[in-house]
Amino acid sequence: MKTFDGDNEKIEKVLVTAFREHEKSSVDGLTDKVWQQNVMSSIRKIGLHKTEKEFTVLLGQFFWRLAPVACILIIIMTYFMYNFGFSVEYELSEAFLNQPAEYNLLQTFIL
Amino acid sequence: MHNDLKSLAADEQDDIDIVQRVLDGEVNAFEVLLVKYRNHVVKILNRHLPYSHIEETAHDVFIRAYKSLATFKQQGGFKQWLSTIAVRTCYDFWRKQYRSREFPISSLTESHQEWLESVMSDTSEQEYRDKARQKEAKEILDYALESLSPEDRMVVKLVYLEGYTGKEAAGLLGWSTSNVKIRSFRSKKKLKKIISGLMRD
Repeated sequence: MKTFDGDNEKIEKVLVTAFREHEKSSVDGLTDKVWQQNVMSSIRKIGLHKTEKEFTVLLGQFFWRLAPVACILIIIMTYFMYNFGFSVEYELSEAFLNQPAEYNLLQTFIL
Repeated sequence: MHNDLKSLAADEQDDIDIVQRVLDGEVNAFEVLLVKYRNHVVKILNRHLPYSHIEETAHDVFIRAYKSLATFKQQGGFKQWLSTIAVRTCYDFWRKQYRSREFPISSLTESHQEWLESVMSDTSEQEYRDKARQKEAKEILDYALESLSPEDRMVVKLVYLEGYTGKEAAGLLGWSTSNVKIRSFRSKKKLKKIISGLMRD
């Protein structure tokens, strides 16, 4: 059977009406006293509500707040590494070779 | 009108007070919210789930609500917050079903074909209503929705069948408004294709 847009629209219209008619159907009595008691019993089993937020919740809250800060730090570090190079090992080896007897890591940073 | 708004605000404040009591350790106070909103939750579930799963899922909705009570922000009120949990629980239900394919896709019979043909020949508003009340209408709608992914199904139900705006649907599902708009456009196209495919050649 060949269908046209008008036919589709008619069917859609009836299906939407069917959905709304179904919506009105009664669901009373599904959640009775026994159901209510079961829910409350499950809740009591869970126990007291934790007022401290769980790690995952905290992570979710702070992740996006800290993301811009992390991005800025990465940009700054990239800038410094690009301009000055990343030669810590070389600097340390040089300091050690020049003063092998009295080598002190702290001096490398102070001097 | 003014009094309605006043009572609504007072009602929301009552809910907030109860939530605070529960968070302070008075677990039994949650029962007040349970009794107050169980019908509201069941109505939402009735729009999205098969009848046989409503009771169990309503139970899950309240357990989820209780567990997430600490994250409840007062904007929009408790009822709205609980609605988002109910809708997202329905979405999770269909995702689970879709993965496990627990529900076999139903097939249509001769009577469904006849129903479709008769709808196309009907013209009056009363005839549309009568056709919509027939069980074939609901079965064809379920068949079409079963063919959609859980995401498309939720969007079709919320936007086209329930009449929510893209923004409201996005709020209920926890998606961005643009995502809902794009998906609703695509899912409607898919639904049209499914319905066209139901007609006999």
